Amino acid sequence: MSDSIPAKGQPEGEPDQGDPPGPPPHDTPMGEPAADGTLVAGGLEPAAGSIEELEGMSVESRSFGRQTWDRFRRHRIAMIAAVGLVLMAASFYVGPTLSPWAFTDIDPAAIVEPGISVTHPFGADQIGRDLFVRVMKGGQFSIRIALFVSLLTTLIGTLIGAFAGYFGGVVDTMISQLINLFLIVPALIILLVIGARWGASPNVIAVLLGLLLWPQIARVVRGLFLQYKEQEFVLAAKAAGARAGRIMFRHILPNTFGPIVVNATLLIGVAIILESTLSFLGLGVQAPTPTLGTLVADAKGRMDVNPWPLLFPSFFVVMISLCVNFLGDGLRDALDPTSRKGH
Amino acid sequence: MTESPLLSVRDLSVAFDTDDGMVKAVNGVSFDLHAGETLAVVGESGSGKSVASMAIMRLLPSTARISGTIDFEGRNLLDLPNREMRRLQGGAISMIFQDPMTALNPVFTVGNQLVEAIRVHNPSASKQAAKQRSVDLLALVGIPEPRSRVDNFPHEFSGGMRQRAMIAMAIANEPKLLIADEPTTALDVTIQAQVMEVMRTAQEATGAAMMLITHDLGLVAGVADRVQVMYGGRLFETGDTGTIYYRSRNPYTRGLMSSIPNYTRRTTERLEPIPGSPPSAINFPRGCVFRPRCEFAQQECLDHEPELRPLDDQGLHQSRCHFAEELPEWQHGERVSA
Repeated sequence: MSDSIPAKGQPEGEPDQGDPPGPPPHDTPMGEPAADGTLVAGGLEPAAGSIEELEGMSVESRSFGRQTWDRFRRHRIAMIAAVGLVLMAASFYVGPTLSPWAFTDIDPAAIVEPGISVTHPFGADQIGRDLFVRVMKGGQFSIRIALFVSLLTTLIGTLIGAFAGYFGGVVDTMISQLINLFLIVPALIILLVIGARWGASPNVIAVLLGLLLWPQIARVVRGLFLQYKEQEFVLAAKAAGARAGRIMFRHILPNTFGPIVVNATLLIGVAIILESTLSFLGLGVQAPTPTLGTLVADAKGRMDVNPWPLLFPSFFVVMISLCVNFLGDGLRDALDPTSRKGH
Repeated sequence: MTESPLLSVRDLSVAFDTDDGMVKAVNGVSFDLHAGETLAVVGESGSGKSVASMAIMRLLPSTARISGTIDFEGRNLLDLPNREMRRLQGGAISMIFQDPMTALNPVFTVGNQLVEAIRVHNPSASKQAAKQRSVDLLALVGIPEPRSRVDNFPHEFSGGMRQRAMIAMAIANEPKLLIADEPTTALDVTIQAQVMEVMRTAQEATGAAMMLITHDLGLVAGVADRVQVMYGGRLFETGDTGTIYYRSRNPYTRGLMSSIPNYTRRTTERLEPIPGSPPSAINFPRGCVFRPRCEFAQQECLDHEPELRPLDDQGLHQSRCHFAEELPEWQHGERVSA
């Protein structure tokens, strides 16, 4: 926050020792030699006002949340992405209520004429269900799954990563090996096997994705904790009598918030795509519940006859993951409390 | 000196087991610190002064092998259960760290951190009371406009102000012992003097004893009652500040003094560094650990390691040198050559 301390050419100097920003030297008769060659005292007038005023220390300090918001607001693409996400989510929830159709309703007329029409703005699928409602409903389920996955993954990953990073030693070795194990196991294949065996409701899929994706967050958090636990403020906290749990969660965790939030955001995109992939392969969420992935899968067979059922859900998958990535970018810049960018 | 000391360290040794061998950082250090007293611990890098202070705070990693006793108010800190030790840490014993840039948590306001420091040890204190106390503490350490500054983040403070805030935090719970580990090393010279002044004010306000760890002898002269000089993890000389400065009876102390720039010296004179570098804490040289660098070294110094022995009746002035009495007359800044 460079604006709380006025630029004085030496921004990191000790404020209560800095030169008062007096008038520029040329109009100050500073130490001009008198006739006899000695210096005249009092050439430099003491600047008026208290030191605090001169140093601009009365500038109000903004809270962390406020600073973050100010920085985020200036990140144009991230703002557009955030607005886009909000609009999409809102339309997923509001859209179906505006339509006379439910997502399971079958309109026999639309089987014959599945193209875009006034009654079916996104067209209809092979068995005459309204695609507008199904895409909106699918968006709802996809977003819900993605949010849940992101939260669960972040929670698990952060806890495990924090323990590994903070305690180090044997704990770290064991957890790191577990992380590596999870990272080399291809998530998709595991999901395929489990999906095929137990079928899948949105909740099962979400929990499975959460259990498979945590190592990514855990690795990030572990690295951050490794880095922060060596910082002197952690030693200072120990010297102040704080116990391990307090140091981990009250002192170190808030420092790692930025990267964690960014990763959680990016995970939403990953989860949407993974869920879509699974559903596309027919092993995700089962009919009649639509998700964006199942809709794409349903439509793929008749792509050359009727491309609309494929295009609409695909568009939303791409838009959501694009927006989520831009949002993550903006958050990363905004959440760094020491960032001076944009000031 | 009849009252029992606040802190009494006896035969403290700290070693670390590393891949290269056993690093003997501190070797048999004993000293006392009385209430209200300021003791300066001086030595080169690697002389074990920081490790000794960390041992007192119980901040060493669990891999450290510590022996000896550290009695604080009659209780051995090394035997205290963690829970009791935590009550002392930041309470009766607190520490000021070297680098104020990293010792404050960057994501909390200075006030938040002060309030936390206060409330960890006084859970009954209300948030408002703790906040008010934080403002008072910031005022005490000379932060202008403490009422608005208390809501600033550390990065909005300059280096000197951060160190002031650290001092405020250290004295928040009225410690009896204040350990300052090179509190001014990271600051520039004009600020150093101010921060030392603030530490003095803080010490007077709380009546705490202070253990000032530094390699800056100039800093020591103004504030310390007693000085102890460490080398190779051992005490080399201890005594009143005046004694150490003007009547040192140890070649290492004299070497340290001679290597300080002094503006009363003629500019044509060269500073006299101590030749060589400090010994490895894994393989100390045979005999006296300072022998390889000592200009007075004799055969005796190679054969036997000298003991720290008293040079006066009360044992106030002690030196670890076989030839403490035989050393030539010497005064700080104008050494009489042998």
